[in-house]
Amino acid sequence: MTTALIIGSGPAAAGAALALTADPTQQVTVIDLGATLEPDLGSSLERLAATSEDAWSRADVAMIGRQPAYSGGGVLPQKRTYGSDFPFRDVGQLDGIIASGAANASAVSGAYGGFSNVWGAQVMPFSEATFDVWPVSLREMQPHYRMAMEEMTLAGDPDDLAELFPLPERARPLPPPAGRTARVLDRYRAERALVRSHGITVGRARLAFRAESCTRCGMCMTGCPYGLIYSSSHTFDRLRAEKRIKYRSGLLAVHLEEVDGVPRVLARHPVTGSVEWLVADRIFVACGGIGTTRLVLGSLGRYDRAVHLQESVQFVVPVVSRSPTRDPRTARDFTLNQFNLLYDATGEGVDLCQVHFYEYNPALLAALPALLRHRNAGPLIGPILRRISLGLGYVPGWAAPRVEVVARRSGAGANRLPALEIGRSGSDRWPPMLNDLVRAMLRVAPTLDLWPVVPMISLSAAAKSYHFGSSFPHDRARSATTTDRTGRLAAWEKIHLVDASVFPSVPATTFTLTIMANAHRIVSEALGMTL
Amino acid sequence: MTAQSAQGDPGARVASPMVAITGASGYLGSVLVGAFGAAGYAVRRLVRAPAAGSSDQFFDLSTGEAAGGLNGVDVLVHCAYDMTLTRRADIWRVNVFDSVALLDRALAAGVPRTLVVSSMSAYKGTKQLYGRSKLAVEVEARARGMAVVRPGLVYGPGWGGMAGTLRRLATLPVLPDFGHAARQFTVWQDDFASAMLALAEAVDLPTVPVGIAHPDPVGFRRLLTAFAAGSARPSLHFVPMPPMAVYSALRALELLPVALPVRADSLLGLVRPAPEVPNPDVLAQLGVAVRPFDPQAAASAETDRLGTPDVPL
Repeated sequence: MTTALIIGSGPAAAGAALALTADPTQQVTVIDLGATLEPDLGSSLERLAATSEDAWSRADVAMIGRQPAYSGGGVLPQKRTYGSDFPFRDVGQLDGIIASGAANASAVSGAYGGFSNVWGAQVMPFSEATFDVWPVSLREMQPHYRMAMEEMTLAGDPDDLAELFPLPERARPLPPPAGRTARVLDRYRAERALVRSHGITVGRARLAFRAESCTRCGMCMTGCPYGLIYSSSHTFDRLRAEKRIKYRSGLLAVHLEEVDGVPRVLARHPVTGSVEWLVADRIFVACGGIGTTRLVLGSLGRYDRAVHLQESVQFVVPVVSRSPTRDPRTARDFTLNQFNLLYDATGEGVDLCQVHFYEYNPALLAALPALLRHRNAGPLIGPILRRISLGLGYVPGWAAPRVEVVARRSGAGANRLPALEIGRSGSDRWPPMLNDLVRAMLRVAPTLDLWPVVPMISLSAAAKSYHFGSSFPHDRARSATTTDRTGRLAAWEKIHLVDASVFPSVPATTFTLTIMANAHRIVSEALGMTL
Repeated sequence: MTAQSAQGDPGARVASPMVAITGASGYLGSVLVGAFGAAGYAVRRLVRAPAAGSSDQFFDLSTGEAAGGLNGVDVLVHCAYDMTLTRRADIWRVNVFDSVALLDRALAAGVPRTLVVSSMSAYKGTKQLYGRSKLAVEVEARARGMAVVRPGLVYGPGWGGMAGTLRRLATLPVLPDFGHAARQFTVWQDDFASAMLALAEAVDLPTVPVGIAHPDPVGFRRLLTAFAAGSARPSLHFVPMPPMAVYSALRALELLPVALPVRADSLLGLVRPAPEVPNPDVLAQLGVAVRPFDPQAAASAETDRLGTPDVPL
């Protein structure tokens, strides 16, 4: 038997674990901080999951469906999962992270399943042209994408998005679209050529959830009570149940090194402060784009030097429509992303911006301007909700301001990660490609009856999109700052970085699927496996 | 795959490989019909008006009736583009969607090799609708493993396409001067045909768009001057004009029911050309050389077409 150690339990770790456990000669250990849902919320969730919707208690629904507090200013509130903030909670991983300005100080998760506990479940591969700057082709990625999609259970419908992102044959059909989505799609189909001539393609969401079991209870955004939305914790639950992996929680990786060709990691118990060395034949690092960057910088002693990460910057674009739908509060719809608007800024299938559109969910009410939330404004709410939806968009990382991180020796106490400053490289300037997108949306607004409220478009601060990486990008040759195809820096032979830190580019066409697939590829290639 | 050795045995008598060409009545298409025919190919013209008793097959981009015309085809060259359309939705529906439908039919018919004739106007970030529509077809063609070529301004004795339009423009008493930004990458029509033949017979199809033009751009004034040389005009009168003002005027005129000699969108391609010829190394590896722009050859081409003896210019 050979031994493999995975650090983390997010989607990259899940992709690595799937590849490793496919090899019966591998003895796999996963170390993780492993924060989970609070016990009282867990009990409520268990009760909901065990019964049909008509038997749910109001108290449990209120607990599990708790909405995040909206702080205004067009800034998205931090999501809640089953009424909890556990994916963002500091269980030791955020100690020493210093965010400048409005940058995200919670950009590293300590949760079991990482940020896949709160993601939007949107899955699409990167476009073929995206891989032009990767040392890996889409063809080489295909078997790993298939594996990841199989694991996640993909739901999607065939439409124009399949031109750039072919839909697997085994994708399951989505639930019926909500009212606004149905209308937009109808209008798009009627004037498809005109919309496409402006560089815009519209199609339904591609989602990692078991759509056939969806009861359309409307609680997607606060966590599906039946666990139908994929989280990498599901993969680890299964692998643990099958005894394919050994899982150890409560451990924070603080240092990596190779001694006489043997890789090892120093892990600290944040609660007790005790440490232990863990050795394996190979180590796969999956702490997330910033978590891995911090661990590597500290391990290699690279302090006080700025490292720039690409971030597919997020923006929020409220949209209004002239024709009303029925009051969405009376409808039964799933509340994940309903449809996508893809904008090809330069026509080559590379510079793609994407907007995910969400229809009504209770959080939308909370985000309305204060004037409209006044109790006397009640009669206005219905007509407004019948006409508004929310777009959550992304600009490719190469066309957006970067995230800058700097590791500081001063914070690197004994057996601790270095302090890490997170900020924006330059300013939070408005990416020119976003202007192009807004112009294109305005051109097709009469056709789709989807009018962006331009003054209310807001850009998220550094690292708030959670779509960042490329600190140690894959390259043809590895070096101090680049990794080879198997995620190895020049300093190490058997330590592989497997998360988004190794992405050569961070496009805007959803992130998680490629993280999982690329981790699977890295492990497969490192072990010489053939698919 | 050459006409002489399509079946592998150079000494055996074999059927000629079949090339089907859409847009074969147009300038580039007719150049290719001649070149492929001369190289020993059986040429099937896919045209809207098939000649009686010929091997022509009916094909209309907007109706896509080419299913039978693709049977037994070894190489499909897709040149067709409907230049008469000015509404952007129509341009997209016919020149993009229907082109993609043709590519799918070629796949379904088992056509082993397809060459899609795009344009140097198709470059990253172009605002020209023609260029954008060509780019959209390129993306689809590449996804299907087909080759994409981007010819520059093709000129020669046929005098069609944009070169023909510029040549007619050169007969006007006053000519617009759009400044230094207005320029084109050029290719002599025989070189274009040689490149296409080489790609049709290459062992592996290139996976990147192949520019077919000389890498040195030629200014608009120089082009018009050269093209006018054959008409024996003593001198040309250029007047500086802001290109976008002319563009706006043409756009306005396109709203009227009158036929214009040049489309507004074409002007964009002229004044906002591609920055460079893409992937010139591909042709070099195939042994194809593209000659630089030759004003004397351009003028000679005029006399060839007129069938008159060579006249020193």
